[in-house]
Amino acid sequence: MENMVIKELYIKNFGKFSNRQFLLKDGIQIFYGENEYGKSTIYAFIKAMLFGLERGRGRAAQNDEFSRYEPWENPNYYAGVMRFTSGGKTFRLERSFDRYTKSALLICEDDGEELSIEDGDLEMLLGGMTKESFENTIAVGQLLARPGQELAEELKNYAANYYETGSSTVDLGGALETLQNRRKSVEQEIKGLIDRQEEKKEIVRQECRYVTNDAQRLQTELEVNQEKLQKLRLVQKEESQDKKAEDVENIRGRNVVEEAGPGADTDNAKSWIALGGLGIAAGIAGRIWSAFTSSQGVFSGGAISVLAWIFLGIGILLVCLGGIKWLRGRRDGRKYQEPVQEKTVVELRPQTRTELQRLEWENDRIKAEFKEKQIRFQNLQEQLSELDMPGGKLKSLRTSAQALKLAEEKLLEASRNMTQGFGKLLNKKASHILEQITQGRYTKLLVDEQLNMTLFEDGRRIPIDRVSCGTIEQVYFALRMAAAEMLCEDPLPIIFDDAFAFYDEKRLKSTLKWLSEQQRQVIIFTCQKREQEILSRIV
Amino acid sequence: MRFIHIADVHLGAQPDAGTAYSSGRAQEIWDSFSRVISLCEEEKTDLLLIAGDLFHRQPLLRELKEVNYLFSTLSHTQVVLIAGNHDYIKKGSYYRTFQWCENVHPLFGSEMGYVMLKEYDLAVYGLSYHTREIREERYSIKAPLAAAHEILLAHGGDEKHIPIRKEILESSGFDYIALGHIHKPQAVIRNMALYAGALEPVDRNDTGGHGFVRGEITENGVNVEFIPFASREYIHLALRVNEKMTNGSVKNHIQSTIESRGTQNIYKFILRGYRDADVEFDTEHMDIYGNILEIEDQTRAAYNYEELYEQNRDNLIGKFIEQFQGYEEDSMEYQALQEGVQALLENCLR
Repeated sequence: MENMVIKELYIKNFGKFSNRQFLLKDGIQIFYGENEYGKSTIYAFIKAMLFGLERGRGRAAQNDEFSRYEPWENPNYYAGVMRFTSGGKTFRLERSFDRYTKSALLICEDDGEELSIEDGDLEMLLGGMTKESFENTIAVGQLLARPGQELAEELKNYAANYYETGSSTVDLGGALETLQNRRKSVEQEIKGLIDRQEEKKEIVRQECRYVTNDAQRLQTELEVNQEKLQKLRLVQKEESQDKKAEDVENIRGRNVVEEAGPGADTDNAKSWIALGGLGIAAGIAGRIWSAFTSSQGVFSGGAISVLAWIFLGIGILLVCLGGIKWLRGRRDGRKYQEPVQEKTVVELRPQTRTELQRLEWENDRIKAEFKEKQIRFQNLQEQLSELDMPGGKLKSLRTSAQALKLAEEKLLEASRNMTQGFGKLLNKKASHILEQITQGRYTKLLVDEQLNMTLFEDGRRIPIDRVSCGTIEQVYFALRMAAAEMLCEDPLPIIFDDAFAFYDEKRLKSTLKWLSEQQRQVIIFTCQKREQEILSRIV
Repeated sequence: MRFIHIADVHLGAQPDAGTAYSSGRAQEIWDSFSRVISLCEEEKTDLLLIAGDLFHRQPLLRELKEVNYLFSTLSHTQVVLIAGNHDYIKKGSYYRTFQWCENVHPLFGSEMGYVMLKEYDLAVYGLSYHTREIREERYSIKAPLAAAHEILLAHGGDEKHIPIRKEILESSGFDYIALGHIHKPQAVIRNMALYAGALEPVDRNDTGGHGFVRGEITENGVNVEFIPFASREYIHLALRVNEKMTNGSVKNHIQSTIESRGTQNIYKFILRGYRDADVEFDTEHMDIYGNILEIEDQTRAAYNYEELYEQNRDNLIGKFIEQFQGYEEDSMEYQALQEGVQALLENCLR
């Protein structure tokens, strides 16, 4: 144990004091004084010596500690000295707080070595305790000394490292933030990648639109052409009385994406049915005839009979095939428009014929171009679907994001486990202290992560706001002492500034007894004489 | 009889080729094909075999016209081609109706067909894809012995695209089997059944050299050789880093590697090994020549997890490491371990 003990305070000029020296001893040290004596000034001086005194900025500066304790006389001389022992050595800490000569000096008096406050030598002597944790634990102020919410954070952080054996102490919040930032940047990268992919897709989609537009334009062209053709055919009809025309295929109503395949064979089917009908008729006729000419069995009607059977068979087959073909043709015909099919004519005027031919070639050209667009469109669709597949880079980025998320979760889980362990220990210690100072009345204190406290009396749960002010103070005291014990390995002096006002005799006695048993320097500022009296009775 | 065997040209493909080369890559594939045709003409090659996937997707009419024009410049060479799974002959495909010039002999039937080249007493057999996939072993056939020499032009070799079996090909009796579909050039049977590989690499994973097969059928048998011909190569390189390396040294190393292996090539680097825990590689800014497709950072911070665990057994670091025991180095969990430990060590208070 490397106890720190404050040996001497030499106030050069601080608040109401100038050139005042206070010598302190180990163990319990009581500063008794009536109101206005300057106890709070001494308390503030100790804090300022240990952690410095920063001047606030702007409006806040008006009532901050710096202003409050700015010397009444000669404010440009704002300084003091503190001597203390730690780890068997004596140190001399000198500070000057005023804005012009601000300085701090730490000297080991045993060997005259000057230590560096900037490099954290003082911090090390204080066991890493910060001003905030100091105020939240061992510096107990006046009235309702409920530890600040920062203690909750600090305890949590500390909890995460509690079982540390030496090598390093980790800032849990910082580590989580690092992981979150990493994950955000990975997610950003993923988004960028998807956006770029989307851009590529948009280019292809744009091209699809161009192709579709082209196809539509071609279709309109075809319709116009078709109309012209029709008109010309009317002319042609008048020219020759035979009403026959050219094969024209209409691609109107056909979607670009769909396969080509118009039902052009319904006529074909009709002729098959007709032929089949003829065959059936011929077969039946043959059969009847062979029945008349021969009185023998059904299968022995001679050559004619055989022929009649064949005719009949083929006829039925043709009718069936024709029927199927016709039905299919009709179905297709509903999907695609029925083709216009007319027969050609021979005698035309030469200019009509050339015009007709020109229009037909034009038709062919448009159809060919249309098909080209169709294939191009299909190819683009294929390309689009390939672009949907995530690449290797995206996959590995997603894994990284997943891994970072998992690391966060596992880190939280690990810390929760540790906090639980720490919390149990904290509760155990605080309960033990509380039990001692309340002489066994409250045996159990439960403190959760947010520092919400619950008391137990004989196994009964008692909410903290149901107990007296004095008991609340004692609960806080127990928590502070337990936390101090756990947070700081090297015991620092405990300072009370009129903290026992609400304590009754009994509890004060047991509290002082408990304090006297600690291996610490205890500094008590009080405006009452009872602490001194009780203490003299205990010792 | 001298022949050139190409495959998987993938005209119309637009492979990713880094910022410097991607935009011109589609044209380069056409150029390369055109160079092969010129070479055939120059060398008076007797036969050009095209083992499928000449086109990346369905050929447009104008594309077929371009190709046919190139074929028409051949004063001596006969061309035999089939359609593969990429340019398969679907309904309405121009392959069905296109009129090729005289020296071109497409084998576009879905059943095995052949073309007889009497001049060389040679028959070339083959079939074309009419669907995207063919799962039957269509090449388990014997050479019909209709001519003195017989070649099989084939496309496929995996489960969904006409599986092949080496021993069946070996005893098939063909003088040569010109294979396509697999982009990496390789011999299935030495001097007898070869994948010419893609003429130009068409995918970022088509690493290594690309080109075509040149061969000769003589009285004494068949002799073939692979001719590297592609204008660029995809190169994947693993780069082992160590704890002394920084962004600067990795970048320099990458630059000199690219310079020695050719700035015309397209690269993917994979960084492996252990890096200094304080160094993070900024792989976005190492593409000096615009020919790096990707730098994959698989490096691990140089932590000795066992040692770290021993030292921190009872604190948060140890409790964190404890949760990740027994995961493989390339698992997501291992990555989580590494990221977590790094974050923890970066946030040490003392």
